Amino acid sequence: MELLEKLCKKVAISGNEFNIKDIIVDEIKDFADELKIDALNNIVAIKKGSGKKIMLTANTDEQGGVVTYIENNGHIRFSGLGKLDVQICPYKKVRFSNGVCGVVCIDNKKSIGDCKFSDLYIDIGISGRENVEKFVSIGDVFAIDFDFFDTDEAVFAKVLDNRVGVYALIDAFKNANGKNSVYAVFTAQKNIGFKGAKLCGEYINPDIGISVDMADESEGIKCGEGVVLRARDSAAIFTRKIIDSLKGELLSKNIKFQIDATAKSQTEASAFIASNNGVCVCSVGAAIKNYHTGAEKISKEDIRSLKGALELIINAN
Amino acid sequence: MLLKKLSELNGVSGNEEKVREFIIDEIKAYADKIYVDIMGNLIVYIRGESSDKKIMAAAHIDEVGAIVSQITDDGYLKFKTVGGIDERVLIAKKVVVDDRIEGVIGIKAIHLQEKSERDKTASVSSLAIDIGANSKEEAEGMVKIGDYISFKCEFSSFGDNSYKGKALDDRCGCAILLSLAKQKYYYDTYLCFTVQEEVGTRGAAVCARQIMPDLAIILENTTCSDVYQTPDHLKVTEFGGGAALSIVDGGSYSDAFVTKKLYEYAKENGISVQYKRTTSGGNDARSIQLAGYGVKTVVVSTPCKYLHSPVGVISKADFEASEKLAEAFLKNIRFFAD
Repeated sequence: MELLEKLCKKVAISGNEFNIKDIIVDEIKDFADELKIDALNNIVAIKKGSGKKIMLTANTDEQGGVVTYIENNGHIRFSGLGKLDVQICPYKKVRFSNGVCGVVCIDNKKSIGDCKFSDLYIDIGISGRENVEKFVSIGDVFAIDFDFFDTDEAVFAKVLDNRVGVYALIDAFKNANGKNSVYAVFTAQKNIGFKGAKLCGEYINPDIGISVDMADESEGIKCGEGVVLRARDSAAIFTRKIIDSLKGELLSKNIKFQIDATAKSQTEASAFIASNNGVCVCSVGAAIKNYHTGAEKISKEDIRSLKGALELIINAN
Repeated sequence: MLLKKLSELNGVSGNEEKVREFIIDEIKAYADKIYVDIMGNLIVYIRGESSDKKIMAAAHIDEVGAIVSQITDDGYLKFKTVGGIDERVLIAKKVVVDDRIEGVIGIKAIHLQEKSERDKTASVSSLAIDIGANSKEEAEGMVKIGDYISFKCEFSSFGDNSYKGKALDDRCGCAILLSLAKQKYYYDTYLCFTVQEEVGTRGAAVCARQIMPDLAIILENTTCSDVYQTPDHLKVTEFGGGAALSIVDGGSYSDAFVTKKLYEYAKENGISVQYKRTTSGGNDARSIQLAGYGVKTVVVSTPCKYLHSPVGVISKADFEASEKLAEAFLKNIRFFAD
């Protein structure tokens, strides 16, 4: 859990994934035959092998905000990034990537339910623009602050989507046995338009692409019921033979899983399904409670199941 | 004056030829290589001292406008907009159809309208262009369905520091690229005059895939909501506040390091600069960033009041600052990016 905790504590908002790059690179560099970082900050770790070319993706970005303007009185104006829900922001403590903390306030008498981002500002307890600018600049990013903690059963953190995916992919990559040619991509900018996935799908051109995407428990799947195996998402239908073969493998290794065919949200798999001459794809993940609220929860058993599933995929036939 | 000539040329998305021909004439003497691709993008290659990196500088040559969709029995022209236009700015505007025929966008006279009609914004479907024809036959002898329609607006200086004109988005960018062509730079540089930006940043996608640049600077215009009663943080940009650097918009996230370095360089060297204060909008960076192995992008915009309307207003000082900032990028990019 130590690695997962380190990953969760980083503030790596979409477009600013470089803040989490070092942890990932340090973990996998000794296991990769090649390690590259592209212009959009996708981290590509390659393990050569003779079989199929398999690409796995897990995004490193999270929702948060970016500073757009600092008022004369020191109030910090911001925009939400990655479909950050404005209603979870007022009166929350936030943490900038440089460690500075503040509180989100409403600047007129609106109620939380009526607010837009333009009604909010951050107070870092410093007055006057010049003084504030010593701590925070336009372009700086922040996330809602929440202390990581865990029990025997569960983990609570500000962002398990998709630090659990990153954590599980790191683990699986370390266990790649050379059967297949494995490209593990820690992608950027999923939450602002699947940019990283679109890009790496095109230049890697894999035979098989599996994205690791967490799932919102309120969309029908359940925490503790195992790996979420998606038959489709809101933008594409996934490859039948991949899903069937995966089902078979999971059953044979007794890894708990649940099928998700609800198609309420989009995953990275549909972002790269149509790259080059097409890719056989599927998406796997785990259920998250309090999805995208800044206070997410996941079952430890599901994390173990996910790690097992990814290792199966990486070394599969 | 270059910007005046560019502004007054008509080149609605899909029909950019006249603008492109003008630019080719002006720029060919400075190009090491010049060509037009299948989509109509104009690419001007300027050899650098080093081929270690490829730098792209892009501005789009198309403008928002309209297209003739129907000729009515009375000889009026029904139309559809091309690119995003606020329907409220269309009534009573002067236009040119097929670069030849003048017309006016009209609506039923106010005293003939029902109260419900007066209280609503007229939609494009209730507007029609009057080209002075008295019958369908007469109109069909002058224009045809599919003809492009541009706003008619004479570019001029006004006030003590402003320019007004149509299509400042993105003829400002084009004018800046034209002046940048006259210099040499450290890296191999591709000045790209892209097509069909206003209908989905289409030309840029094709252009960037051919070139596969490492970095790109996109020269654009952006909203200046520096008008009555807008709170400071919603102004998008301030008139006279300088060249506007985007952090993130609806289409792309600018490279955080390069953008910051460029901002600091501007501050240290007396180039008037501001950050765009909102995160909406989109431009060619959206398509360019996904070419090849990815492209780091930076967006520099001249603030423009009344963007996407028949007449926009820019500050001369802001326009000059955008040019200086673009020049600073091309001349110093090897120090900004690793």
